[in-house]
Amino acid sequence: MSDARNAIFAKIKAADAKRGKAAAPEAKSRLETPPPQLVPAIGKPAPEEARDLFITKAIELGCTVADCPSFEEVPEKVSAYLIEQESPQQVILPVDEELSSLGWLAAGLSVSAQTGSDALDGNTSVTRAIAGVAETGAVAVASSSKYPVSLGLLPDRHIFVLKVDEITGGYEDVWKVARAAKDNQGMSRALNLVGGPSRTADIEATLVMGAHGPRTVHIILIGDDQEAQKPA
Amino acid sequence: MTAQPTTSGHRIGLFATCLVNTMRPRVGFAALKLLEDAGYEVAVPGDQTCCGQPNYNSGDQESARDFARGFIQQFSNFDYVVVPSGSCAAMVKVHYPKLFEEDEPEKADIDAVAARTHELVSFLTDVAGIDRVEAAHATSVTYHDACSGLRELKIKQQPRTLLGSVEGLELKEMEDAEVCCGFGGLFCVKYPDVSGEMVRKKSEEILKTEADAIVTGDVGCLLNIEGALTRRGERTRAFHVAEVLAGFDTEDAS
Amino acid sequence: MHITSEKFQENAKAAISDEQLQTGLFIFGKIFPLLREATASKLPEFEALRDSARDIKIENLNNLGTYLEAFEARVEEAGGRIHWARTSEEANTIVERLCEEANAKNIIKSKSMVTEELELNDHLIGKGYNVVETDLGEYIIQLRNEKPFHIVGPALHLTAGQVSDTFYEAHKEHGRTEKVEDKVKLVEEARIVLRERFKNADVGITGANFLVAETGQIVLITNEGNADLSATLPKRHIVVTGIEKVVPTLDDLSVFLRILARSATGQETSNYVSLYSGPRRARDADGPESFDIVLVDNGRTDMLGTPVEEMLRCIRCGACLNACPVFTTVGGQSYGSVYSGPMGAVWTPALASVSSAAKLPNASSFCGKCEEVCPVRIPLPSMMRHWREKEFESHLTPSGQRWGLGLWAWLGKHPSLYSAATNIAGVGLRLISKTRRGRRIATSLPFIGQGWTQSRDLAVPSEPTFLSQYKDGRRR
Repeated sequence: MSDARNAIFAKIKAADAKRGKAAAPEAKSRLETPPPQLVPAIGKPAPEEARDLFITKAIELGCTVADCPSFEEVPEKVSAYLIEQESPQQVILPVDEELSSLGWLAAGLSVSAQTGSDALDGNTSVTRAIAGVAETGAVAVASSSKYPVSLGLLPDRHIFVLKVDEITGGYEDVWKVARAAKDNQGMSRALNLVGGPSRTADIEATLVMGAHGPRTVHIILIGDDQEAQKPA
Repeated sequence: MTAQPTTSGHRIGLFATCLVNTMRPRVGFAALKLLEDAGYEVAVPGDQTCCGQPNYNSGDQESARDFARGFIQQFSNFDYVVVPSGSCAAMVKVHYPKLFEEDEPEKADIDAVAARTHELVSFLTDVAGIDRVEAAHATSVTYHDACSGLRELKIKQQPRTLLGSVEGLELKEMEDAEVCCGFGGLFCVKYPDVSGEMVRKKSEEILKTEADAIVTGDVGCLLNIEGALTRRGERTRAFHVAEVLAGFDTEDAS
Repeated sequence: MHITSEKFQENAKAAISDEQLQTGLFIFGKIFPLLREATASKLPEFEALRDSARDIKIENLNNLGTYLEAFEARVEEAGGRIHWARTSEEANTIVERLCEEANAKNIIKSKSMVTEELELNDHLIGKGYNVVETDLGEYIIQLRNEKPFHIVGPALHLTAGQVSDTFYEAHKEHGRTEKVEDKVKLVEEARIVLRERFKNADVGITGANFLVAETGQIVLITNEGNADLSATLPKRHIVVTGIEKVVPTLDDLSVFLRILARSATGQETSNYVSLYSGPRRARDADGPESFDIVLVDNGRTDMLGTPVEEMLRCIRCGACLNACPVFTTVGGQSYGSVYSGPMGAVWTPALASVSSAAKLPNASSFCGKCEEVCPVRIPLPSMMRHWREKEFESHLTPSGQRWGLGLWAWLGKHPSLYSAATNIAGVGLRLISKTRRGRRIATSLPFIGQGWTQSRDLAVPSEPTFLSQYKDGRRR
């Protein structure tokens, strides 16, 4: 144990004495059994409202959202989006069978699976996500073999493919999903809640999109209205 | 000595405050009138001095405690202590109890008197149950919410209710009525450039309303704002809210 | 911490007559509070969440040792390393050593107030490293060698023209030969230049908005996404943060996520809310190879168990700056400290010294608006008053003021002398007053009174004191 560490903990202990109370043993149990905190109504929408709330919020954050009946139609939807954006018909995918097995070429799209930084500039990436957060409209992604964090940050355009039943209520639900998603590597290194395109207002308070991250974020939502979200 | 109120429930000790006493005596008489009109018997203890706020805010806790002890000596035998100033009332009500530890002999008396101390206008509305005054004055005013009264004592609607009952009086709200005017006790002379700019901004908002007069509940703020307006050659008058409610605002104070 | 707060008055005076600065301050003083109000009022539970946030932070500080220990254990389980630093020297040395071990040359940073407090950049640059800030506002002020104007918007005192000039000078070596004026194009230029830096960086240094004890995660919150790039692209990720940033659990974190952006900018959420733990896992597609957290004390443990302990609740939202009539008159740079506004007036004496920072807690009218908006309900004015008490105890209060207060206290104990003095003062004022438009005013006062009459007249009464008139029988 380092001198610095000892010194710091000694001072914390001394302060406890000054305060007239020692650290409570309950503190440790708080970590084991976290007491629930106040969750605002917006963080626990009714299951049938979650999808609409998510879409509303995502749009407020500057995302565009498109419905898609099934995985098979995703490449078509991507192609249509890129035409609308006047962007090239090419996408970069992560190493994820669920996406790479789709009919990209048939939809007229060229596909690459590079994750090296240079190849991502100016391009469009398509990735899956682990959850949609209805409370804020953010999309939750976790680093893994199938999700390189840089793939969601460096391209100009990022397209999320999200299933309606992956839409959760609020932050509490996202933590549950993130914990459940952990494989034998433990909690993922990165858990990003991506709320729309990257932006800054650092010059004269003027909002500009595409500060360092994607300029546009598009969400392809798979499943129809009937597939009401079930809380995770 | 024990701090016991009288049994009548109607005896008030009026704490004038230094600025009213020295710079705006008429406010003291206006307070007397308002409280007597409301049916109270008002005494003015002759040896009262300062609430100690300048010392307290300068970090001189010991002197603040001395002032508090002096205050208790003068004001312990009333049903209520009424103060025509939000900041001085807050000093007594909110801060005096913090100046003494639980185990100190004066603590009980301090807490008791603090609990019975009120700012003037909120006393009239919240304790005396007054919702109108008899004054009449066909004029327009704008109201500045002095910070201590607003944030420490939650005084906001009460002066507006009573001003609204003055016949012929039009209340024109200014933008940023709740923004500090820049008085802040010694702050205004220790940081004159900043204070001067703050009162300039306040003056701008007052002038935009085109009200005949600016009204507030604290003489410190009043002198600050009035002084800035006068320096600019503006004709806007300036009154303490007690002066308007008591009908004393039909001539200049000085 | 090095500060120049003794220059507050001169800086403030210059700031007041700087029209452009005042335009920047309008954004913080008028627009941000409106945005905060709009978003806060849309969330019915906002006030209750503030109470929860305060309570969680109190719980945190009462058990800081326990939570830090737990955090350390979780971080190490995930393959990260914790380093403890008592002082800025220790912290800077640790970071330098970590960079050395990585054979680093190029370092990118995302916004961290703590690293500015430590003057880490200067230390690393002095040792030969290339250090670039990636938050656009921080990047701009780094290029200009300025201190931040505001904790959230460090460069908002500048015009697009000034930013354009700065970029034109600095980006020549990146092959940018054209001067760009348009704001969108300026952001684009920064994006291109900084992207090269992101890719060539050996080390990414970030701060942390929160540390979650339960899971060993750090939380990084931005609108630009630059912190995420800094935490992902370089092979070494170093986090530098204060020990007070730990919160017990993820459920606790949720409370803060709901009030931070609303308080800071009126957003319901920041655009990137990320949690990181440890280096890349074996099968991760990308990520840093090492993850080091430097936990910095630098005066924070000295605040524990004292009347300024509550300041350690601070979540760096900047709401108090926007609410403060003094800050919105003089701007952040007037304070001569990394931390400005009401929170700076409490932090700076704690992290530097009472004597060097004395101007800051005194430059307040105690209007209380800061306390009203603080998301974790820090009683800021009382803590500024605490610093004034420390100043008084140490006889640092200017002697004239101390003498005057002493006299006042003495008069307070001698009511008949108090009465005489106040009457004499009244007479004195009448003597130096003049009548203008039927009103009696003093236009020039001596000594400390000059501060008053420099911009105001003083209305002087034509009658004796209230108490003496009452004594003489007057009742109306």
